Amino acid sequence: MPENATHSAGGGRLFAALIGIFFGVQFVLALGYPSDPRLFPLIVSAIGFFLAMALTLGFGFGEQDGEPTQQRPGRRQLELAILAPPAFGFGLWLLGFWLATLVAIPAIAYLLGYRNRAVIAAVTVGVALSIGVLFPLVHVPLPHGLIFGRSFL
Amino acid sequence: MLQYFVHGFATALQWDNLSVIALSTFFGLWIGVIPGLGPIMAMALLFPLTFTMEPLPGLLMLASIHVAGTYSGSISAIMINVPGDPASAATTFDGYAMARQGKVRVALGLSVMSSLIGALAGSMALIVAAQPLVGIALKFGPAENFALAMLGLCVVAAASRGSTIKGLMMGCLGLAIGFIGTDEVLGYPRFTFGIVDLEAKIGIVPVLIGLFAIAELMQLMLRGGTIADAGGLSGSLSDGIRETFRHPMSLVRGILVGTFCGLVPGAGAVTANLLAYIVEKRVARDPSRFGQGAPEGIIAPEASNNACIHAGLIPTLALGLPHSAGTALVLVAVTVHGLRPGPMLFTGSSELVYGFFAGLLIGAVMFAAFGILLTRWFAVITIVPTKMLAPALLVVGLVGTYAFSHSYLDVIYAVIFGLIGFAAQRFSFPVIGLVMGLVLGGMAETAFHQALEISDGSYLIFFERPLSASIFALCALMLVGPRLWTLVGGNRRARQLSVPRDIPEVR
Repeated sequence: MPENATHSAGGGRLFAALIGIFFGVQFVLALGYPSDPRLFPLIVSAIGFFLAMALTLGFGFGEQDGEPTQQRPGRRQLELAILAPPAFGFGLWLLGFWLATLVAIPAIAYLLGYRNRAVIAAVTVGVALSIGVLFPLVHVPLPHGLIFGRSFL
Repeated sequence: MLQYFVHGFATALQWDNLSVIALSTFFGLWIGVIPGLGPIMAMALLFPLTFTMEPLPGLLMLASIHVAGTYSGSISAIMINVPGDPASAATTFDGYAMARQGKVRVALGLSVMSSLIGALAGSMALIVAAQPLVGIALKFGPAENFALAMLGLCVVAAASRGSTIKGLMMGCLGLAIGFIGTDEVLGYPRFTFGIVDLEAKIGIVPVLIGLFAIAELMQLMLRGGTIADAGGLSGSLSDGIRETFRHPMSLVRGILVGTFCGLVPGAGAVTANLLAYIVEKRVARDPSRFGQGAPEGIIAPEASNNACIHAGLIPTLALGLPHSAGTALVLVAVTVHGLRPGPMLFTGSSELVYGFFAGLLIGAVMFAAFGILLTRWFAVITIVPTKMLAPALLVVGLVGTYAFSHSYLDVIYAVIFGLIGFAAQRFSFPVIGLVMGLVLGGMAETAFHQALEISDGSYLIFFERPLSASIFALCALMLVGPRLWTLVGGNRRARQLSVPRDIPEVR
């Protein structure tokens, strides 16, 4: 079995175990609720817990689960892929739409290895303007950000 | 009925009605493409306008936006793996796979034609069979609705590639995530830890944007290149349109699933779209093609969601029971103009009702025409370098999530579900199960409690009613049947042949 396959099956078991913990916590919390609101969550979380445990113990993984479906990515790329969405979400909350967008698009593109500055600038301005103009046009407010508040727009 | 219908066509083809349909269709198409916005938001924005309009153009405006927006949700689903509307979630699976193969224009052709046929078939069901179909819908009580929700989850599990257990667990996870917030039956807050913002349920939009858009752009960041792996485009829109007619049974199954989901209050176009995909995969001779760009994986879900939108107007107009937020807006518009939904509407206001039906057919043709004219230009996105596309998509996805409910909490949900979707994709866990569980959770729990209320707490109600018992038997067959079949067939084959076990599986 190739190295990637071992990682895939091991990662799958870990993923199932984490979901199992979620079901377990939900089951315990549900025990504290009145009889009607807790009934369905108890049933579902109990079933979910046993299914997750079965997967964690290695049942239910077919032969094809051991096969690597994708190439193993580089560590830096993986870190960037995992960190970029929460970082931009945090930027929206802190800085608001305009500043977060004008910073995030060029920064992420650059970190991914894209070096054509003219294209980066054009896409950044294009995306920012199309969202920044179109959304308010249909009365959809944009995130203003904690620092700049409403005065920024 | 025919003379009513002819008269309705003449009314709908009047210039003022026609211009309302054209403008609303264009607006619906445009807004449906943008993730986070969507037909319901567009309908809600323009809803106050209907108060100042005549009843027919007002209703046609709402319905045209709903129908066009549902179709155009598939455009972004195919091109960038982000469903513009939740009702196109399943279209991403094979639509985006085709885009990756450079066949985005073929996929868009499949989508526009199957959406058109689904919409026309749903309209015909509405026109011809509204009153008899309502009779069938009335046979479904809480026990049957609960059984249906379970059937949805079992179908997902049975169709999951590789492992039924994984499919079931993801379905349970969807149900469990749906518990977070205020209990729909008794109004009791659950799993909120005293945080008021958590009392509102987790919306389907941030979940879908997270599972599909954020997870996919994370994959794009890792993969590099362009969405179209070949770096160029092949095939044309007309190839896709022609291909649609090579799969007539997929169209029929999609339309039947969509019409059925339209009739059942609580099911809706999202369920129809997902269920049609799963059914199609289940009946396919070679299910391994699904997820790799199988045309049926676009045809059935798109025919289904469009048929569902139209069929959903049957209980709305005939019983006053809306099956979705969109049909609820149509229902309110009907009542605002002093009309009462019910069987009498069909006879007492025949000019309005049949004018509306004719307008729906015209609207369907119009969205297809606009779709054919406009979508070919969108295809270029799939040959843009992902190093530049991924950050732009991240902005569109998360700002779209914020726009949906103006809440940073939804942005957090989208990021969390993005990470879950990313992990699930890498370890081959079916995210469709999670979506299905979340969509059906509310209906399942409500029906479960209502059924137990009716039976004084006896669980036998689910097995005593013939329809409900039959659906549960089907569930059992779905889960256990294939395994037994393989076991029996496998033993027999093993006795007859000695096949080496290391033959590689065809994906």
